[in-house]
Amino acid sequence: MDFFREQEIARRNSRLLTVLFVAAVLVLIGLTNLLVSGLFILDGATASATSDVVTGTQQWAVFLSVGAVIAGIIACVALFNWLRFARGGHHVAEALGGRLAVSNSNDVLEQRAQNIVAEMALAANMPVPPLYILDQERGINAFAAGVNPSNAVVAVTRGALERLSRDELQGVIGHEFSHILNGDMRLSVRLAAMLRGITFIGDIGSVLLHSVSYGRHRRRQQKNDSTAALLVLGLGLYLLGLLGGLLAGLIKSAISKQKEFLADASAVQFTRNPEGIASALKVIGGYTPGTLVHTARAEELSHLFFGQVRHRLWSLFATHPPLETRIRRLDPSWDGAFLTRPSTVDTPRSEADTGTAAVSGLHQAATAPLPAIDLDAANPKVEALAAGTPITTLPKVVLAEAKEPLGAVALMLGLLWREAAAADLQRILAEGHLPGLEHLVAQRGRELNNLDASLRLVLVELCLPTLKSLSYEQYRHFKQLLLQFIHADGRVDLQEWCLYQLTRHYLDPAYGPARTSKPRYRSLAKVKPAIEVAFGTLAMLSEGDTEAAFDRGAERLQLALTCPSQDTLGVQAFGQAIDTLADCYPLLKVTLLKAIAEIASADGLVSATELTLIKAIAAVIDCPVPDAMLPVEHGIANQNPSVTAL
Amino acid sequence: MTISMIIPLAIIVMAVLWGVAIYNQLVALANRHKNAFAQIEVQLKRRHDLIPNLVESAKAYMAHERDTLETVIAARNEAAAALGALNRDNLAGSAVATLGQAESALGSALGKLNVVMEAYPDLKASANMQQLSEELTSTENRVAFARQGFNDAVMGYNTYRQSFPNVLIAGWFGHRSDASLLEFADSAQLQAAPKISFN
Repeated sequence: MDFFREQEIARRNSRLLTVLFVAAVLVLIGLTNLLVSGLFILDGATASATSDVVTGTQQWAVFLSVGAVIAGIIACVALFNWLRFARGGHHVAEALGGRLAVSNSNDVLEQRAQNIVAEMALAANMPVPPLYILDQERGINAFAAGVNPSNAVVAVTRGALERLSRDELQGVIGHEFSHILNGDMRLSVRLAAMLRGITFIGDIGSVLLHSVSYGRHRRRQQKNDSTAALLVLGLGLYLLGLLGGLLAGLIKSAISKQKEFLADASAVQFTRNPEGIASALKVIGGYTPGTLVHTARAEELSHLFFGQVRHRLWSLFATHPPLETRIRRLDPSWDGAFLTRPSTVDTPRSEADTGTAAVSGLHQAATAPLPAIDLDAANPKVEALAAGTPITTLPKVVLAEAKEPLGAVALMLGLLWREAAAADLQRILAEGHLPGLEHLVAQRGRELNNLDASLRLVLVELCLPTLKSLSYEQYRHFKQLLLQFIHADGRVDLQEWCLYQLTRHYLDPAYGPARTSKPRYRSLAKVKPAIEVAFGTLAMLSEGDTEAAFDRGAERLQLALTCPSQDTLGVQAFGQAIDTLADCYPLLKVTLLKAIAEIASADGLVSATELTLIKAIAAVIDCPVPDAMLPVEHGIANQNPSVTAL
Repeated sequence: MTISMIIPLAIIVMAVLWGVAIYNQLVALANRHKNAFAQIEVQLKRRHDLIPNLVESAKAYMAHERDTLETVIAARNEAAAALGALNRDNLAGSAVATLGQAESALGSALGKLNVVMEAYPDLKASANMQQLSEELTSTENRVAFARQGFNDAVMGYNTYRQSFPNVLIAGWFGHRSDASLLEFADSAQLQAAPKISFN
């Protein structure tokens, strides 16, 4: 098949159809306008038959204003629907029951799918979108969601993972990439929004019809004229909405079909392997559940999928061309026989294998004591963890858990564990909305109590990327737990502040619009008190002379600063000071961070606590520092080869 | 201002805007194919990084096959060195040919390792090895797709540059010559993925 030519044809057809769609909408607005303003003018003419005659200009004015109102109504409804659907792709994927694939999954099929997504991104010259898995769906299907490439995601059903070979899955994912690349999602969301606007006219009509028939029962024979006018208006609107909706729906489904042909041709361009996608379609044809998807919301997003999600009685309205047609285009010599393919997974997947696996697995892990495995040694030796001994490398179990969403949650909470408040913390966990954590958090909390400060930061940095795969709800609950843990003992210490700030600033942007700092201060002199508090706190942490360290920072900024007395400093004051500094102009922030690094290294050594604090400050003022920029003794940055080796 | 003045002015403004649009599109396409070339290097490097892992996993099971493993490592190191020596500004030079040879030597060494591995059922069954095999397949695919993506991007750029009327003004903006497609001297050998199957 000449895929470049096929793409050209499909593009041209869908352009023509889009023009047709817009024309249909305009004609419909025109007709509705004619109907409504005709009635208005007639009404006006009969009411004022004796007095002044309705002039031509007045008629035009009525016509235009009615037109503006109708177009406005359609635009409003369309905009509302556009806003409802045009959210980031991950919202859509989660609404459909998708789960973000983890990058180090033990599931070979999942890993393979992720590799394929990366391969197709290379072939299509675009960034790698996140992959979601629909674990509950047995049908073979996939979809792409998100209105532009930067927020797009790709999702596949469990059925597709299990039934398709590598080449076939590659074809399917290549197809989805074409939808992302050609902006099909944007177009179809727009068309659907406009369609909703049209059918809304019909809705107004049917509401009018109902109210008229209801009103007739109540006050019969009264104001017969206006009731008749309303009846005509309602009926007219209803019919126009119905016909318009039908026509526009037809055109929309024709556009959708052209887009599918385009995507099939593009999949061949990306894979250069027409057999792959053709044979995927043949397997779907020979598989009883086909491409059906059962999630409730699949219907309204049907245009995003690889194949039809629901059976359609009338193929004119189907979002996808028939399987046979698609296969014939890809493989003209097809003999018409579908393929039957047994699942590549022999045993049926048990419940523990999918959704709840993480929880039950963690329960098991939690009941076993945590062995500390020294990764540096050639032969891993297993040691019982003695209480009180500092841990110098992260145990293997912890490393594995940090790569798993629920494990990472437990570890982050474990870092905040205070044995003194154990009962309170247990209660918080029991009331929390994240099940399966009670034992694990306590267990890890006790073990992590002795963790070296530098390793705490390493662990946090390992956990944060993993936590990105929490769903929005889970993240909300996690953050709630985190705050409750921090406030459990009634006070906030510097370490807790750092952990919370790092979490918030790293993860919040992934879950919705983050609060951005507004540059307000053009010179550092304006934020002098805040700088004094920040520097004073840091200088206090310094092992050497507090005053000397403070002065070095002040010298760097060339400002006359006075070190605040120790009792005025506290976490609250410090937090407020840093929040103030976040509103400085960007270039000032760099200067500030350099001065802060100077203070931290005043005693010749940047301790792990200081390093954590610098990173947290950098996160809050939204000015990330690369490790290389920090004046860190190599001892700290590379203290943990076991982690870098991973 | 009269109509006779407005019309020529409007035409000039339109022409400028249109020229700006073409210029921007040319820059975007040129950058896209440059990025696509960088991707090939990234993927070759990824392949080189993967091999020590593969050898490390195999080592535990096949202590007697030291020679084979050492050949693979040597070939890998050579290919990595050739990639490092590649001069990004002059892609037509002999460095590309050296890289091509090193890569194909690496491919054949991996093929040999695979044959040897057939004799170790434990190794084939190991979950670790299965994952590595998937990684290797994917890496080979990525190298191929990165090249293909590069060639597609070059084609997009060339087609846009040669189209009318873009061809009339592309030269003014410094886009005088076509970008060249990627062809290795021994492309047939290079394209062949090392056949590693654990079945």
